[in-house]
Amino acid sequence: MPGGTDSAWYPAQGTERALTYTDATDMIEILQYGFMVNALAAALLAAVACGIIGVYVVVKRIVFIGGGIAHASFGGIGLGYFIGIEPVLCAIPFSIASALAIGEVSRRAKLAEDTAIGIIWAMGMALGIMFISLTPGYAPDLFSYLFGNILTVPRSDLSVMLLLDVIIIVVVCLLYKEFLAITFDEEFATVVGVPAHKLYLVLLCLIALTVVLLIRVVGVILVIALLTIPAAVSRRFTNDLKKMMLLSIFFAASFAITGLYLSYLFDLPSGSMIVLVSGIVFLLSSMISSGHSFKY
Amino acid sequence: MDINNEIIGLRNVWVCYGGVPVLEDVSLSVHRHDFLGIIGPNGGGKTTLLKVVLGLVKPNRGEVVVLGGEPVEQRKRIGYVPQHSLFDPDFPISVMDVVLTGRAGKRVFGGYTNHDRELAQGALAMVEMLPFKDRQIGRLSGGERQRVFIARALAAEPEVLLLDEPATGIDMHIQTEFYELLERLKKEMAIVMISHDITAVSIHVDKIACLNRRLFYHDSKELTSGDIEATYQCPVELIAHGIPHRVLREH
Repeated sequence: MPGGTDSAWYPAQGTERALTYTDATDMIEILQYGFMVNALAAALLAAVACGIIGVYVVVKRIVFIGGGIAHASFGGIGLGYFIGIEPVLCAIPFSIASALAIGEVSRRAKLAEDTAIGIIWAMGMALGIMFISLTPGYAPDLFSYLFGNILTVPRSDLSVMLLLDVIIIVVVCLLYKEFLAITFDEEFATVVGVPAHKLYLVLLCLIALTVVLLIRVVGVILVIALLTIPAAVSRRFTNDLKKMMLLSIFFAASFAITGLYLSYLFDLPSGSMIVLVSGIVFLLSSMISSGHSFKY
Repeated sequence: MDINNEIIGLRNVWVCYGGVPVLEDVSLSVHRHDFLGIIGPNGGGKTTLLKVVLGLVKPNRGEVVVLGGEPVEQRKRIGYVPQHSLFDPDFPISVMDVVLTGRAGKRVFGGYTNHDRELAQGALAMVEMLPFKDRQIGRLSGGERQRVFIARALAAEPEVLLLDEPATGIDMHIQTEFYELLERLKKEMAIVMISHDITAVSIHVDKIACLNRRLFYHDSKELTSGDIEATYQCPVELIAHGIPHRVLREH
């Protein structure tokens, strides 16, 4: 069983969907194979979402909003524990609600947007902690929601991730020209008749779905790394939004798989390894390609 | 001037931000084929005036009529060229894609049509920027970028063009070309241009208004020295550019 930190909560997940086995050695091998396949699938599914949506987050400079939605979604995780439904599923409506709240509060309440984000960011976390403390017993994989654990992604989560990916891809394909118009110049888009604010809210909802997808991989606290770093690295290689999306899917997948492998190799937490790999690649890319010389 | 010819009509418009008036009792009428320059000091409400016309700012009092209807309904028919200094030059977008956003509101869902692309190309050709269509927007000079933003406004097939400080940060000799472009455009649409540069504007436009919270406008190119002093709140020396360019009445 790889990953010492992972094994602390792995058994709870493993026994839940126990494989039929005849002897202990086989079990370890099969398990290892099974969850590694799941982890790889999760890495690829997460990469698709954060590659596409991360590009919007970076070019529209709403990284702080992404962070706010991610942290607020922890409230949904806590609520899931409390009412006894799958925390990741419960995080979906919760993070969408916080995305809409961030989008609306800043406009309606004449509050500075970053103030609104900061408040919702902290409120979501506070709600999550409150719900968890109200839940009887110990929350065994709480830590994995905060910091991610790609090795414990259950098969049921993979289908949720796939569904979210499909939703994100379909919406972005349908609204590509509108999203480009509002991210480049929201005011001008409004003037030419694009319902800019409504579409901005749709974009925030897509960020919320991406956050949910990434929770299993890197956790709510580290989500912001996968939302920004792959897009920021790919920005150095292209001036085209579509190419930037494809490249950042590739980078996100590479970071996740490399981080996963390193965490297996050195027995370190997977979420933090993925984020560290991403950060190091970003630093290297900003050193080798300053001056935009590699763009095509 | 009959009322049917009126493209933009403001009647007794007041705009206040937090109780402080930015526009006071502004009335203005822009007609087809007008080329109006609005001058005034920074913070005098020039951009706010354009945003009122575009329906982006709702006046606290007064009436705004654009092309015979509500600004929010009619603004699709206005070509808007905002202050270019407000853009993120690092945004990963090509010149062609910027111009195409002028067509983004024509149809929801799906990509641009061939018709959209033809119009965008035509608009780029009009401002002589077609050879730059694949260039990233940040890799253009200030003057070139300004042309692209005009092309973007033209791609929407507007009936009136609103320009917000279009000449800021552009070299003198490029400014001349820029005003020549406006000369060509004014044959097809009304143009309203705001600027804080009195001299440059006064040479090229057909009519001038002065704005510093209050608007001074006589539906002509003439302003009294009293208008200018009231606008800038200090005596401003104006150079008379011979009879064709005279801004001040002989005094």
